[in-house]
Amino acid sequence: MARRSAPPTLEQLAETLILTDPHDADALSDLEDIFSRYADWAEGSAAPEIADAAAECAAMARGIREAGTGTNEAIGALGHAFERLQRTALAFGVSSAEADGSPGSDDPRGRDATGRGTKPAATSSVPSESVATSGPDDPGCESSIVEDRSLIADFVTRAGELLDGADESLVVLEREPRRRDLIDDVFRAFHTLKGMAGFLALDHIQETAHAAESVLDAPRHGEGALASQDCGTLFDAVDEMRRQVAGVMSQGGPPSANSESPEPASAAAATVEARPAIDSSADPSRGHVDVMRPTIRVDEGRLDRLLDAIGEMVIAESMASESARADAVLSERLAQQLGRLDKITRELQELATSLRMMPLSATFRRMGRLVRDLAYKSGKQVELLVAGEDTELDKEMVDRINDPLIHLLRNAIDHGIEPPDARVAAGKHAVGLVHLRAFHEGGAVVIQVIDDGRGLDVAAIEAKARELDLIDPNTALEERDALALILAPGFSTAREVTDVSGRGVGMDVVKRAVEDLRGQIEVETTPGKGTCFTVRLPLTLAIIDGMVVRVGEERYIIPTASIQRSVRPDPSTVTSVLNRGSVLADGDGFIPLMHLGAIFGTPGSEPDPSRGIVVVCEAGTRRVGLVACEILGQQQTVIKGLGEDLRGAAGLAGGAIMSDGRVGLILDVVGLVAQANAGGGE
Amino acid sequence: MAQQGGTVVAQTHKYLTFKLGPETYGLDILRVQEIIGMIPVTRVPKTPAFVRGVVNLRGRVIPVVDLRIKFETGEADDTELTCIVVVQLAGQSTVMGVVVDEVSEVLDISVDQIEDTPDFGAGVQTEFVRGIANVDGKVIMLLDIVRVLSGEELSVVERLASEA
Repeated sequence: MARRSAPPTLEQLAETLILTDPHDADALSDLEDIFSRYADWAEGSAAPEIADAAAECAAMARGIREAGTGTNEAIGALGHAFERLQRTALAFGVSSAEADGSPGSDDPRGRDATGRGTKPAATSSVPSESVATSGPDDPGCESSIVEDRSLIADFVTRAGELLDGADESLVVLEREPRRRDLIDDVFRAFHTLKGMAGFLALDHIQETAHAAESVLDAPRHGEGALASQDCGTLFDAVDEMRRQVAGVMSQGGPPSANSESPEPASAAAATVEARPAIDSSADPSRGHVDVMRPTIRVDEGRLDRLLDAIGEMVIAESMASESARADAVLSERLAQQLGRLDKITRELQELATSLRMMPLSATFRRMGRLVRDLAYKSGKQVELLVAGEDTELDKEMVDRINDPLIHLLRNAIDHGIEPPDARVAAGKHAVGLVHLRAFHEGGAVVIQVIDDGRGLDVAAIEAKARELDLIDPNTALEERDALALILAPGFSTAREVTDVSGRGVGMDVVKRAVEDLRGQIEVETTPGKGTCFTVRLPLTLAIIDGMVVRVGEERYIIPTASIQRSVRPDPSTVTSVLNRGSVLADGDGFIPLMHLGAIFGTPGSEPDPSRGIVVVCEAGTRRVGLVACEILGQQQTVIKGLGEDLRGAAGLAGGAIMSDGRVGLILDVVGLVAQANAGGGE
Repeated sequence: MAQQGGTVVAQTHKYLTFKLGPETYGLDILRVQEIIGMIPVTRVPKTPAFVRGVVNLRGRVIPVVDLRIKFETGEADDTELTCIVVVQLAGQSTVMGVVVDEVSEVLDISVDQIEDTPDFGAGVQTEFVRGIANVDGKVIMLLDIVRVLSGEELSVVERLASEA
């Protein structure tokens, strides 16, 4: 290698390009620099054609910088130039040239052991990684997949899951064509698949998914039943999509073979090239991990058992220390040893909790490209500002928050940000801003998608909701409730169905996904100024923040997320209603009270709310006051399942191991209210 | 295999015997996972009375039933001898605890020591007693633990036990 530093890889170029702020002169100059460096290297070590293509990119970057601002067209053109560069590089088998020229290009086995998980950097693994990048970009079919292999592998895995789910629902639907929930499930699967395929520019899959969605339009709007011939069509569509997805996967293989055949590369390079393709076809899910740090995959059940055991150890340790301390003649040595044990236990617990955590950065990085493409497609100018990508979340949550975030960004760009001329006319900068940020707040992780677009039209939402019969025609809506409607199934204010978004699914998918993660989603909007979607998620699915209350002789845990406040009510504010229930006067309204002791038949519970404590909780759109004897404290607890049916029946979300090793029961406030209503005030 | 033991001649099986009130019962040892001393049980509201609640078994939350209530052998207070027999309902994934007054011993009982459950006439449910064994003059009722709980009751317990 002639140069002192290793040349940038195609992947680094792609990443720099995506992350470059088109208004930031310094960033543009960096971009120019990195392309120039690549051109220099290509001139010396690869083909002049590659150098030319890279130089063209560098010149365009300079052009944008000198023009002062990056227009959509210019950035888009640069993106296309970069795609040309990638194709050229691939056609010239630059992979092999890179592998040869790179410092210490060792044998592929070494890479397999160490390089696989390494994030591409200036190491020996870099050249082969960059091959992986261009691998799926089959020059023959001109597809414009320039993202790294992990995206494709990820897509294939998810697509497989979605299609499996659709298949399963369709089988039931064939027998019970009126199952609206299943129709919605299938629709969502197709819709999500369409979105993902669109993101990766897999147009053929996107089209098939779109066509399949259209078949479901009729049963979704009105008829309610899925005709049997439609069912057959959908099965065919699912099969077709499976073939297409499999095609995407196998495309990952042939290109490397193609690039070998016209220009026989060195044996070592050929092996390096072939390897990623084999890897990913054998196990698509691996691709996801490939770009991360070196990792060991562990069976999830085993990890959970480890966490269980550590949780128990912490409790046992604290109980042992407690008993030892109660002993008046505690020897100094024992005290020291216990102290040490305590420290180790704590560290172990922290470590165990962190085992499942990973940062959001990989997810956020993908969004950069998504926003760029969406903006380009919709003819808008959008800049994505990302913050807090280091925020860590449970691995499962990180995986599952991906689709909802795509929906939210899609929504922000399609419905939020106005076209450039409309923005200018409204006195705003032509380039719309979308903030994507994550941060910790009170033991939860908050992810916000904020746009500075036109905001939501509350009146239009209400009108649409009345038209769709989603609300009682006689009730007046508050703004807050109206905004919540956009998250309801089957609701969309978009007048036309576009490729980018809009059929009314989307937002309810987001809401469901967030709720499945035990999170909450809120919408705030200012007409003309923009909209903010706030998603609040617990750090992990396994741990819940709760307030421990005493009810008679029993303890229950109320999830902090659903608590608004707690009050010790003045007797005058509690009114009995028809001798069947009581309400708490609160400002201008009344909060119905639920006596936990009476509901649960707890011995020794206090019937008089004014002598106990009222915990005011939010249950869906309503408020309810739970009457308990006293508050014992706050606690973070690990949720243990109690079984699906029982949970709903008894208004319980699960069990939790308390600090004394006993089991406490976690309340499901929404379920409790629903069940009390259904039971007619048992 | 264990369930069909009764049909094979002269085969012996090990049974864990325990007391509920004055009566002695036996439980196929292969169903027993472990025996733990009485620990605090958390009552779960809206479950049948014989479901005592849930306990923490080394980080797992498992349901506990009280056969003394189910069999109406008289509700005894927990003593130092009271313990919880942890049994497997179906495979290892579904386990539940059974509160008994006292665990006695593990007995080898051969098939020819077991007699069919006598018919006590209508109104006396005996389907959960697989047979009655006579060992050294003691009468031991051999329980089919899965059948002890009727379908509905079992589903409550299984629901509690699933995901545990």
